Amino acid sequence: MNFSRRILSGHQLSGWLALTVVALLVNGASAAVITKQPIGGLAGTNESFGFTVEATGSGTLTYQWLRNNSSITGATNATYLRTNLVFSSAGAFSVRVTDSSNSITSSNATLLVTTQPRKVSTGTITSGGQAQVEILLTANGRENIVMLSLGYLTNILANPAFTSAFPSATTTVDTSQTGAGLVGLTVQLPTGEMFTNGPVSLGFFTFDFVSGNNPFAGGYYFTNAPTPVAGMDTNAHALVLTASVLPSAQALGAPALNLQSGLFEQQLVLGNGGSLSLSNVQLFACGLTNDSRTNAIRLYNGQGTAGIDWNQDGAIDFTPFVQINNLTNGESRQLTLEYYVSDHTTLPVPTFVTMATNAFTFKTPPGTAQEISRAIYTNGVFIIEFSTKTNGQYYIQYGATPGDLMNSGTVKTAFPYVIGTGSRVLWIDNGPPKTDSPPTNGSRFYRVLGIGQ
Amino acid sequence: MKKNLRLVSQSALSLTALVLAGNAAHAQSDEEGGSWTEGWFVRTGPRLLLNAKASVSLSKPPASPTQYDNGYVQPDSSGGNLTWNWGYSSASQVTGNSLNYTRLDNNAGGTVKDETSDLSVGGEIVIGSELTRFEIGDRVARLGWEVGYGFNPFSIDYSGTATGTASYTQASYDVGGLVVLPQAPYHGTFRGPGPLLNTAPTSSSTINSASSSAFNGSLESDLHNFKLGVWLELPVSKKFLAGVSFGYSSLYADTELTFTENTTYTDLGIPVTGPVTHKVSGRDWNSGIYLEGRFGYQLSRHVSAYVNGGYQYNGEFKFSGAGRNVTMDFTSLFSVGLGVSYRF
Repeated sequence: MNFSRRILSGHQLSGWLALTVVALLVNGASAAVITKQPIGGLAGTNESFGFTVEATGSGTLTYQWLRNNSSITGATNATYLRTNLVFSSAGAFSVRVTDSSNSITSSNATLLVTTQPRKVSTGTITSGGQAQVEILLTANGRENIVMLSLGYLTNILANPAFTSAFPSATTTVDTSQTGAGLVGLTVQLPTGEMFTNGPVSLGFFTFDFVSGNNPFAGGYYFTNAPTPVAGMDTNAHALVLTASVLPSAQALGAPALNLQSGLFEQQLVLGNGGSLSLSNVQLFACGLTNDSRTNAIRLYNGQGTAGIDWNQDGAIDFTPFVQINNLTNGESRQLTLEYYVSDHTTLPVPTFVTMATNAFTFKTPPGTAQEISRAIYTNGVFIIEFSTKTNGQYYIQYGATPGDLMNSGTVKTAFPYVIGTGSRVLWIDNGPPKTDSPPTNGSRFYRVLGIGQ
Repeated sequence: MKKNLRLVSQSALSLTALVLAGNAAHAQSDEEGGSWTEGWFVRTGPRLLLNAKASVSLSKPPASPTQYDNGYVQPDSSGGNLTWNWGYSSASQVTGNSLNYTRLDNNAGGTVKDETSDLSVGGEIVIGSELTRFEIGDRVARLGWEVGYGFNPFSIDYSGTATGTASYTQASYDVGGLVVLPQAPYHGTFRGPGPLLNTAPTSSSTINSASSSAFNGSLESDLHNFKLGVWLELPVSKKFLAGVSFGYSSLYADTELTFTENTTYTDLGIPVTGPVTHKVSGRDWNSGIYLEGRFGYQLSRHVSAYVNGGYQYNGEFKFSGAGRNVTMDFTSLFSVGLGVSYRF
């Protein structure tokens, strides 16, 4: 190579400076920039789902929408509406924006398609002189209007009304068919507003009692008349909405520390306000936190755990539950939930979620009968005292007569089982969910089975 | 059991004497004396054990304020004012809504006893065989292995007096918040759950007093010694040989401390319980090594007499109970034995 010193002449220097200025001017022009990325979401089959992008740039902007990085024919506007969704409509959507100087592609927006993107359900059913039925919406963030109809038994209830939890919303109650036991409801948020993702209470229906005062006896069900069960987004696109009557769980106050058991106890009414008998109901105590000692607060008389996304945050949480068998329509039972709180002070504040499931029967392993030191009936509970080995498993069985305890067809088993401490245990029969009903004096006989003793 | 074992060891001594006498007579008629038989041998005889030591001291740990002689009310997982980490021993501690505890801290000095046992007479039996022979100079040395079991009883006196100070604490806790009090004995745990008590006593008082304790008893131990090792023997003359053995030993000590203690206090507010007999026992395996030297005299082609002396290290063994710490010291055991060896 020939290396030589180059010296610019005055003419060459001015030409070079001019080129530099032109280049700077060209580069200084505003290139295409996406100022608002498209947002994905969850939609139902047969729904529509719209994507929007906002961008700036020089000259006229052109758009090309992509699905899984492939161009979508005819999708060349700043908005793209995907209609008549099917499961295969799901994918990663993006848009390429081009101006006079360059093009830029947005980030991916994921569209998921499901059959039940959102639902309404009954919440707590209570009685305060009137029957009150809470209406819950589990939204996914797109709903502007929610519509439904609730059916009820006219020989039990009458004069429905609705109290909205959204004062800014336009709430319409259709009472045109109350003679047939039907009431319609439409809740419409102000234009452009949407229900936030997750469970939310829309408010509650109230009914006058025609006979009795059992709010669970209403035989509630969702139906499409006079107002169809449906929803709409902010662009008035129809949204799929499913509806179901769920078992009601109503806490009868905050948990309180019981010095006898060392556990926090909370009374709760679990009721079936629907029109069908339920073979099994699971009650989940969701969102239990740690106490001040950073130990987990536990549902001590929980009978199992299951993974549920109770708060619709996309994460499955393993949540403790108790369950009740054979909850007939109109029936309610009072439950005592026990919480283990290691610091004895932090108040458990669970969110209750109910679920009707298939009948489930616990199986009791074979064990050896253990001596019961004492069985004391006091304050509406039976206290059974027996000696235990550390970490031993003890199943408490009960029956209405001593003979029932010896008969596999009549003996019942309390759940959960007791874990031994190495000393005496005072087990408390405070009724459901441990046992199928609250005990009364002289009405119940017990035996303790030790497993592997 | 211990008495029976002692009888066995005494019998072993007598039996060995008989065998020695019998074989001495037999040796006179043995024409082939002086040639050492190959193969297996069994060796047995009485064994004296020296320098086994025991130390007994007060073991009462510094009690936490809420650890009582008849129960405890300790902090639990909460670290707060309520606890499920409590327990009590007897129904007599409950009066109305009060659960009553007592604790006696007797800090009497001079109660440490360090004792070395007298000669312990026991016995030993060893079997083994020859592995190989090789020449050292003009002599033929023999190398083999052996396994053995020995028994020696061990006993020391544990008597004396001690004086010091004592404090007697009485505390009451409210159990009125419990519908049902667990029956005694009850032991709550740190993590619970269980009935909750307030950690603060409703009343508490302490009496301090001078104390005097007289105790009388003994510590007895059966020492079972198992050993596995190699041996080397070298003829010194036609009839005499010298040998050495070494290897692994495991000493199983089965020990029991029994004593009666009578404590008195100058302050009459402290209840006097009268003489109390305590019994505490412990047993454990103690691994170690042994080294043994031996001289033998051939009585016949198959029978020889021997004397031996050995050293053994088996560490220390500790156990506690009844307010006492017991330390058994087997770090420097010496033994002397004699007996007969039969080769076949």
